[in-house]
Amino acid sequence: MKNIIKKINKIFVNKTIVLELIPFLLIVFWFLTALIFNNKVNFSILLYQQSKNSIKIISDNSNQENKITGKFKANDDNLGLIMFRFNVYSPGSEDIVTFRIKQEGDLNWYHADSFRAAVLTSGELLPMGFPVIKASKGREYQFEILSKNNKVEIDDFNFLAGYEFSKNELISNKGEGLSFLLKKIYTSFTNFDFILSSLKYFIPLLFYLFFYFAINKFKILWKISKIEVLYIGVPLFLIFLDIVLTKKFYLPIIILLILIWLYSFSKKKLESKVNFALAFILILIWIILILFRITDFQSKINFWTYVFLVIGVLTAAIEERDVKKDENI
Amino acid sequence: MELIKQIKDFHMFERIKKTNRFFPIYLITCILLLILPYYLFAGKLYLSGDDTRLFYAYPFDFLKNFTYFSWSNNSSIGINAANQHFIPFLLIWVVLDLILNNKVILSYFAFSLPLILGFIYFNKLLIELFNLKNSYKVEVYLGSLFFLLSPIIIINQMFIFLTTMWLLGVIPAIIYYYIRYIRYSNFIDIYKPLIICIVFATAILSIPWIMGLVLPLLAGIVILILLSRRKEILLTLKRSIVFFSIMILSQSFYLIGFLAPFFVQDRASYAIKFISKDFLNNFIATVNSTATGYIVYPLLDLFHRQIAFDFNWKLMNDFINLYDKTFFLNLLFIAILIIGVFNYKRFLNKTNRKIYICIFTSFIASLYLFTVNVGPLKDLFLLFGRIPGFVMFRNFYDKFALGYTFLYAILITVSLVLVKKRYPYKYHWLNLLVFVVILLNFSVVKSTVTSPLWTTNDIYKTINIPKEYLSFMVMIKKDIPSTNNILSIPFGAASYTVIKDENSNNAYVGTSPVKIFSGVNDISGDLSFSFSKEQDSIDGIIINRNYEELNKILYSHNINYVLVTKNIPNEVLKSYAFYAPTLEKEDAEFLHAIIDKKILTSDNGNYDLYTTKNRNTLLESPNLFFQKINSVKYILYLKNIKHPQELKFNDTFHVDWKMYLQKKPNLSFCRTESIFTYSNTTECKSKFIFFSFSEMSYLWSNSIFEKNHTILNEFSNQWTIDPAYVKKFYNKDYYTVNKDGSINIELVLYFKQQLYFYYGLIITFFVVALSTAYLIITLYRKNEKHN
Repeated sequence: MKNIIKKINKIFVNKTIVLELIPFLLIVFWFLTALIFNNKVNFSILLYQQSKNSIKIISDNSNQENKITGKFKANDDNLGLIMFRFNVYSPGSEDIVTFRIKQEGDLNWYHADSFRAAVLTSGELLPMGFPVIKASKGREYQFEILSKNNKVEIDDFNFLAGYEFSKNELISNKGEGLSFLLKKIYTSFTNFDFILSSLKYFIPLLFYLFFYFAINKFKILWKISKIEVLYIGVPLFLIFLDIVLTKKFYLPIIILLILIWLYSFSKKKLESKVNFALAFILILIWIILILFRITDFQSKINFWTYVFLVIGVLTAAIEERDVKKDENI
Repeated sequence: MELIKQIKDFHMFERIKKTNRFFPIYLITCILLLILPYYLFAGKLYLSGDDTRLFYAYPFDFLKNFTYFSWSNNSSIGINAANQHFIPFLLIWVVLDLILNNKVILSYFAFSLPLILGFIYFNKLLIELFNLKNSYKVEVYLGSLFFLLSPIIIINQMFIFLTTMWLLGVIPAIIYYYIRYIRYSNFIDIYKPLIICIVFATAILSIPWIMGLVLPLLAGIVILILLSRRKEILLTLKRSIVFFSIMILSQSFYLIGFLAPFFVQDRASYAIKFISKDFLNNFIATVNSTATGYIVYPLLDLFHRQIAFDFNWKLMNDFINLYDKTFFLNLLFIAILIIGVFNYKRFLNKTNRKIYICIFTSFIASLYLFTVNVGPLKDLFLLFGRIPGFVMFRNFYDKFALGYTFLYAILITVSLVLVKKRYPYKYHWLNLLVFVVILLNFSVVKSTVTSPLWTTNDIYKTINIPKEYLSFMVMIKKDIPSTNNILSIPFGAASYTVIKDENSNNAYVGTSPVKIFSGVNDISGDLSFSFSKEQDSIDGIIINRNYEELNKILYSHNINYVLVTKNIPNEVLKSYAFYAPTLEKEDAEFLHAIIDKKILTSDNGNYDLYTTKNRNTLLESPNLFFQKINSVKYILYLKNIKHPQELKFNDTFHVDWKMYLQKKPNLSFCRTESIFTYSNTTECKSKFIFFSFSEMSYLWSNSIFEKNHTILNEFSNQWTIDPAYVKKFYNKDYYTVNKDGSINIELVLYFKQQLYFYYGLIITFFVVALSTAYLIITLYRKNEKHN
């Protein structure tokens, strides 16, 4: 066991590994996970940002119909979807939005589809799909979005065109696969929206840097490992139970838990910063839970974070007063 | 020499320039803040809202028609509200208006100046508070940016852009000089904030926002007292009393008038609002519906996400498009805070440690007050509502936001300094990251500040007031006496009116500026009837087409004209600014029922002015001649009074409307220029005078007919004029006797609370004069000693 710890220590003493290799790997992790998981569409779809100048809004007042028309030149073959971010001004409205597309010059629409306006309220980029057009590169396409009562609009006139490639073809044809990958990287990382939404995969690097500095430099774990589990572990476990098991706030229980914590805290003569560390950990947990859309414990974590902050600052004041006394002595 | 040096020292950039290598960066930042409104508003005025913001572009109109007098009716029936706090600022702005002669530049400067002042003084404050060396300029700079460019400040101050925005500069400035005075006891550190307090008195009067900082600070001060020695406490207390006494006395010119309504409670005083039971009930309901956020978002330096989503604010889109994706980057601020907490004992000296703990305690208190929704502590906040005056914090997320960000910015700055001390070779990257995150968070400023009018998609609030509207206001000013009221149609849901931009559908949607531009008050919405029963009933009367009742209301409120605006964009008509069922009934039938004939039309036909069916006058009594001098003073002449007769004054009732009998009564003021006679009452052409010295004596003079002053129609004033009383208690100098035994008298009708302004002004003048004299003597003695 000691040997294993020694070996691990050796790894973490090596600055090249700690400060260069691991951060590099985590950046690569961010890069790859963003490409694979962050896309709102399949990995085999290339998304190109289209110029906002190619869209114009025509309001047809005679039918109380709002029409958005646009045209764009396809950047690649296999055109299969267009993505828009909609603004719906009367959420819950029963207005129907119709999307249709055709090659410019054609008499008939290539594809038309209808949606309820209410499903477009997320504020996210939403795809309007249609059967893939194999030989689309260089051709101009025209589309229309129709809605009644002016209730639906496209935000910022910002839209993306998607080109869907066959996975089998990409795997079997290495040249095409490589070309696709380069295009994928280029189109993804030149898209501001993509970069913003991929930042969540940056968290491991952030955590790593934090723990590297916090644990290595402050040696928090070392201090905590010396603390008797009974005094610190039990009250914290009880607080954990309160967060997880009870949704309501029972004042007597809360007061009791605070008193137990204060007793243990003073008994073990812990420093005020332990409270701040606990508050910070709770905030991290809160944020991680939010990333997974778990909202059940928000209220309780919110409360206990605040309690730890208050205890932290009060104990810091007491510590400062004691320092003063020492100086006087 | 010393005096010149001190005056030089007052120049904001001077000290920075002397000691700071970063002067070019500071200068560039100030220039960027200066051009920020040009980027945001693209050459148009940023108007609208409850306080109109018109004073930044039209300071003189505002000064004359709104600010000077304690009786105010700006798109409302008359109320007692002392607005004189605005005068020093408006005087400066009038001069700037004359120099610049450009409304856009003038109003943009008003947007930038609080940010620039905030930037400069927050820097100075941080350096002074923790006695920081020049080597920490970058951290101080970042802290200042953190404060001013915070997403909380964007939504809380820049988006609303009320006069509270000046607090961004005033609060750091006052605290900076206060700390300097406590430490060095130089009188110059009282004199400078004294001037600042007078010029920006309007910001000082933003009491709820100031208390939003003071309340959390009190928690910190308690801790500071516990950590300090008795000698230190006594010295600080002594100097604090001197400092704040002079500051408070300097505010006398408006403060006495502001406080008076709390003592002379009257239904036409704004003060009654803050102590009413309705306001308390409103407090509980408002807090319960808005206390839904958690402490995490403020700790991330973001506004409460839940409130934005619950109330469908524009901020919701900012969260969806940006903050929801980047909010974990803001964890950086919490991490910096934690590093600070872990290292302050090691790197701060004893004094700074105490200040740090004091600020941290205040910050924690502020975090709670800004959030409220902290488990059982929410009930505690509701309980605070029972403390008199605490109801001003019902919008806690607004009132505590500024103080919270201010305290957080101080802590972040100190923490950045501690990071630098702790990691002397690695801190650069962190500073860079902090800078990037601050800018990233601030990037939504344009979309937030210039977002469309609430409940509309395409109506933006940046406009240039059309020439057609301004020239129509000039026509009203010329043709309509200011003793009348106008009804604005379409009738709004608040006291708002709509002015459409000349070349776009952008619109001014805010408190009606008819009074500001023309001097004639208009009633533009149900809230214009504040304090009267019509506030709740007027919409129902219009909806039910009860025209008889409506005409009665128009008559009793002296509403003699109707202004019809015809170019309001459809989207605005459908917005929150109008109540749809009322608007629906404001059709041709409605107009036909209340108007008589058209008397004015604007150049392009977008505005019409009609007379009402039943005409009234502001004052009414048999054989009465009256002349308006200004909003608080009227001269009355009553002739041939034989028996007791009624005198009606069709403005809101207030106990401080007093009548003073004049010696040697005569009608000379009205001999040639009578403008209107109705029901045996003659209105004489008004002669506007701001002030005459004789008014000062009304403070000790006895008013007449006070016991006969009663409420008419549950709204206005009525006196019984009894000639026998005059004959019995006054000598013959005060009346003339006619052959039939009747008498003629001259009266001045005066709103007594206006006097508080004049007497307050005298106190302010003495405080400034004595302070100036004391400062000169002190500096002279210092100079002599030095020589």
